[in-house]
Amino acid sequence: MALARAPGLKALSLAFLLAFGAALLLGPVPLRPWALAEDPAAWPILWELRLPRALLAALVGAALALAGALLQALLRNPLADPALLGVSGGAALGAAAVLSLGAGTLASAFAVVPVAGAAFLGALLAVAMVLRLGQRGTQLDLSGVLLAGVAINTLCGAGVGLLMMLAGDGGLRSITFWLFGSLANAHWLSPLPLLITLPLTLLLTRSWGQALDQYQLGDREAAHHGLAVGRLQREGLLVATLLTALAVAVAGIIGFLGLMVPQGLVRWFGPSHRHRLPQAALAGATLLLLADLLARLLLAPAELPVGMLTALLGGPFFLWLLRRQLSHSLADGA
Amino acid sequence: MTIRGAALTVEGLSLSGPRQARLKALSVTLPRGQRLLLAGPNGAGKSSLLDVLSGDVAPSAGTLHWGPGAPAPWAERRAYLPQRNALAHPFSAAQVVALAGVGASDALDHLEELGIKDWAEQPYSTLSGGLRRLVHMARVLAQLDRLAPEVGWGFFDEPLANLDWRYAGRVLSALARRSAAGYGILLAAHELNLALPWAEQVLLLIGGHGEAFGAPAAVLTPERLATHWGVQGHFEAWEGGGRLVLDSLDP
Repeated sequence: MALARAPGLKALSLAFLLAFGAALLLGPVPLRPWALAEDPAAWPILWELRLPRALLAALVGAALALAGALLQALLRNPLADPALLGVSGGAALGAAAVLSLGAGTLASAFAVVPVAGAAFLGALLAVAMVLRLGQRGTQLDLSGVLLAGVAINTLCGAGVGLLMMLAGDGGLRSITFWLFGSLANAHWLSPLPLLITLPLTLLLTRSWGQALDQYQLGDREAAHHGLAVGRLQREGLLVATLLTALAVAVAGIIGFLGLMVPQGLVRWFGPSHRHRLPQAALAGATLLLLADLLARLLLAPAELPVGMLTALLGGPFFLWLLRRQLSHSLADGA
Repeated sequence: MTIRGAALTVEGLSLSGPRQARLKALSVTLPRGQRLLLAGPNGAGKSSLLDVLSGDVAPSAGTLHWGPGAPAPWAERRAYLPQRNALAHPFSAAQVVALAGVGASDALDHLEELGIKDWAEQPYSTLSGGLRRLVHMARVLAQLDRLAPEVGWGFFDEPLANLDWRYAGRVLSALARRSAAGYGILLAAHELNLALPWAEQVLLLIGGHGEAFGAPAAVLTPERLATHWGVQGHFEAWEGGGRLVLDSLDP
């Protein structure tokens, strides 16, 4: 298969499998694979806690990183992040609205469904507004999209703040936790939406590499080579939005992953997009599995929200990236 | 070598602009297999004409006749180097050329043809302005070479700007080779003394209308140089070519 020979995919697959195995076996109660058969207490931990959580971490990480790689390519901006389109802001507002109404109901597993649903709807609504505002004729004005995203995110942030002020103590607490992003509430229902969507996405985008490369020439010159620029933009933004919205809906806001992973891949594997999307999915899954493992182990038996951990690691990374870009553009005289 | 395929006929082409028309009822038949120079002072409508011929901009009026057998997709009947390039992604020079849909060795051949193979692996963003332009030139030539000579057209908007004489010469020879192979080649340039020895026919645009089309000596008369460029000069013809002699920059 062509994919197996693609640069990095083998190594990334191996890293992913190792991370997945570690996420299953490590935790406050370490499991030994050879002792699973004899230990009756190990099965529920593995089957009801670790496996759904590891699956969710892998899917959410893959979805966020893939969406980030797509957005950085489509907006032709290495600093683009899934949050920029207003996805996170809209999702947060939707989730906060539901959480502030039913304070404290998060204890039951099925209370997650309305929260996730509201987050998903909020995300779609916000992106729809951003894209509508960024439209110029039949094409998108990329800087318009970015500015509209900033504005919508700010508005949603204000809305969330208002809801937090109005919510009771329980509501305030659950909104705060949701905003940090966490995989702690994972159960067998939560990975399902992404388990269906992510493989379909990888299938749909499997031949987009050359198109995304040509797209970097700019709308006009990409079209000179016969690329259907508008269609690629529409489909790509739709895919990125859907993946981000689904990820945010089940796991809250996990920042910086969608920014960091594609950036790292550019450094390791070069600027071509030929295998970027499957690479991003594998690397994102691996990274979030490891981050969640850290979040569970650092303060065990208590745990950190994984979104806080990715922000903690991602913030300095982002600053370093910014410094590097600035010094490079100075060196280029650009 | 016999030239096959039809000429490109432009009929009554007009393009309106925000303040005044960019093209005014332009009609001309552009033969294939000849080195065609598109000349005219700044703002004469050269880029507008190339935009329309490339399908980037729909004309307000008029028609283009590509002749029988022209493929429906624009990408299969023309390659176009616009005046400005927007690329900012950190591709290597060879990767930029490969965006034309050619393989790595083909991309290297096109860089070599323009004499810039040594920069193949260098990030595009670290190249000088002239070299960047040459990389795009190689990409557009690679696209043109994928088209059949009897249907393919190449439009080039000021590829000579910011090039030294060596590279300008490389670009002109690359275009001459395509034209001899039967491709339609239309080159817009302000560097008349570089381009005129190359050109077989000159299309002179003035204020959006076709002022003249023909051999360089017939088109670039001392009167036109004085009226449209504000200089004193004359065309010095020799067997199979010629050059422009500038006597004074004062009218």
